[in-house]
Amino acid sequence: MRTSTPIPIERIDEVRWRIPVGTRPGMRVEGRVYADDRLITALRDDPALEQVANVATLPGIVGASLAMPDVHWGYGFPVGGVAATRVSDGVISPGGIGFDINCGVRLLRTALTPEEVRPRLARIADTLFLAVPSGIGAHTGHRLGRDEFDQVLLRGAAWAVERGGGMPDDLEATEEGGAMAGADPGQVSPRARQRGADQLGTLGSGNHFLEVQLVDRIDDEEAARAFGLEPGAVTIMIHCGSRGLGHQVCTDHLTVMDRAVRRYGIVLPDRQLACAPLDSPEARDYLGAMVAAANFAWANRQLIGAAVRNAFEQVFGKNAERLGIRQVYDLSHNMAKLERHSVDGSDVELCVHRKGATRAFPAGHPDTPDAYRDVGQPVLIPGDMGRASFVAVGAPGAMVETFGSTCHGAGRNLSRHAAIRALRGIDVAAQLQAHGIEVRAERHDLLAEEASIAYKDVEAVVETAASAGMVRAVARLRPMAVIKG
Amino acid sequence: MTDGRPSLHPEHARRPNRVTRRHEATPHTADVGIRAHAPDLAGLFEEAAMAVAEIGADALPDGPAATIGGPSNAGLHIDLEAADLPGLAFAWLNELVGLADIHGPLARTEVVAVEALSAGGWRLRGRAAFGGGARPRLDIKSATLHGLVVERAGDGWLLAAYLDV
Repeated sequence: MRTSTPIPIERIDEVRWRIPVGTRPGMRVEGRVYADDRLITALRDDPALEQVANVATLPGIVGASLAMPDVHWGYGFPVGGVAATRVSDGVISPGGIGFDINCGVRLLRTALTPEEVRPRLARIADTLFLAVPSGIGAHTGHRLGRDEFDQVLLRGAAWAVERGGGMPDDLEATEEGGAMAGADPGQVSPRARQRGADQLGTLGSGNHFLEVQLVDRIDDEEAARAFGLEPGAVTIMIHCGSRGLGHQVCTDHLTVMDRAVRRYGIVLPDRQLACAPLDSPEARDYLGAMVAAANFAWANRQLIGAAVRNAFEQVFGKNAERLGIRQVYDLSHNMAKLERHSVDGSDVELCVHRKGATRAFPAGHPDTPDAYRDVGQPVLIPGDMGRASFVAVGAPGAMVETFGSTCHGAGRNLSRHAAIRALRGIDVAAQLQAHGIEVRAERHDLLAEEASIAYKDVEAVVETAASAGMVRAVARLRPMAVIKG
Repeated sequence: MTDGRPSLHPEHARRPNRVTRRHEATPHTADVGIRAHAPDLAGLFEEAAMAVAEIGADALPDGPAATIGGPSNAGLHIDLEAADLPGLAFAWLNELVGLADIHGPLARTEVVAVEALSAGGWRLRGRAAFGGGARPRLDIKSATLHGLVVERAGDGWLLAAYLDV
């Protein structure tokens, strides 16, 4: 599906581009794209730009419809899209959060060195692959009962900690303390519960992963020190979300909102932008369900983090405390938050949709954990399994321009089919192995879909975000072992 | 159904018609599109289901579970309504996606009828079978409303949709 006519973009400066109001009918604000020359070249024929223009038609949207440097074609919202709507008279759109509610990233650090890890890397990879169910249909042996389920939806990561899943300190290093207030388990359908009942503690598939990494470069020594990251340290990154429960919650409420838009007289250029006024019963019901699903995802990552700790204990014969395994941070990149931001000089309550985008709060922000208040909120930016991921820190520019938001990853630039075609005959796992990266996957034949060639260069994405003042780069992480579903 | 080539289904032999029943995958950067063609709506929704099945798993199995009503899989009855045909397609595809997440890969569907309702809207009645040994391929989160089309095309019908994977 390519755009019928190209979307005109105007250069503002080295990393900012404008899609003017009026480019598409109904735009209430301009579109703003953050991209350097390399990234914008790839975007010129990408339907993502039309999606940025479409999002600009949402009732109550303020500022601009934003595209982060990793933006690419999504559905409704582009992936890498940020839009803020006024709570007083604006809407919430489930597509602006996505089907995988609270898909996000967790980073653990260790006191281990590469010299300690490399001789055991294959065994670490094997143990992690066994310890964390992954792949399609992955499930645990435990099905949640009704009351237990409600507690997960209400209490998120804390529920898992109370059952021995990880450390209480993990909650302090998790966005929202691992659970948001306002969950309404009654808005989570029986079908969503059925799908999620035995999926807690599972990785899923597709671009979800578990990765053992090496800190191979420090770009900001003060922030790295605050985050506990040292050159040559070994880290573990987890990328997953709310599994089938979250997917069904979005589907259920999108169905409701698709019916509601006509009743509220909202005209949309893309049906996937289905929405409802924030003061409507449909919006309240969705928010309650969204928060419940978000808490499920935090419980999920908490359990996976605990399984990672257990795996390392098993391999090294020492407890996680002695191995120095501590959580750096856990953040979401598919979410809507009710936040106060400055709009035209006034303090306004907004619903900030981040679809493939994360928070990036600077030093001093009250929502940054106490331990990081002096430097800013950690921003976790996974790249691809062959190159690198990044840790960054929120910077003041994010609060000025992007409602405290930034990119969430490398962003795709090739379809799955194109990636498979480009890598036909190439054994991706063998290639990674030849570079010293242990790979474990349910389907080795599908690794090509997630190969480096399918993704933008995450270094270019982070450089652009930094040039725009959203973040400062802190550390680069290279993959040592990758577990994929 | 590979490399964008249309796939023909044995149903052609039983329902000869002017428009050939077929389905194919279409490109999308992060996700997957599907397109289905058929001479009638029941066939269209079956073709779309087959496209979803082939994206979610490697091959339609030939075992007993593939036969709805067979000794090992009677199939699940599905009865859905929506205000319009795209809404019905959204409901149908997502019913299949959700049930596959619970019961295993989608193996086979049979659409008994797609009919306009006298009070307005549309209804689909059918059955679907799951499991049967197909090898899971891609985790389909949902069918989306983005670019969702159900419309007349020549002498038949076209359905196009994007799936979040």
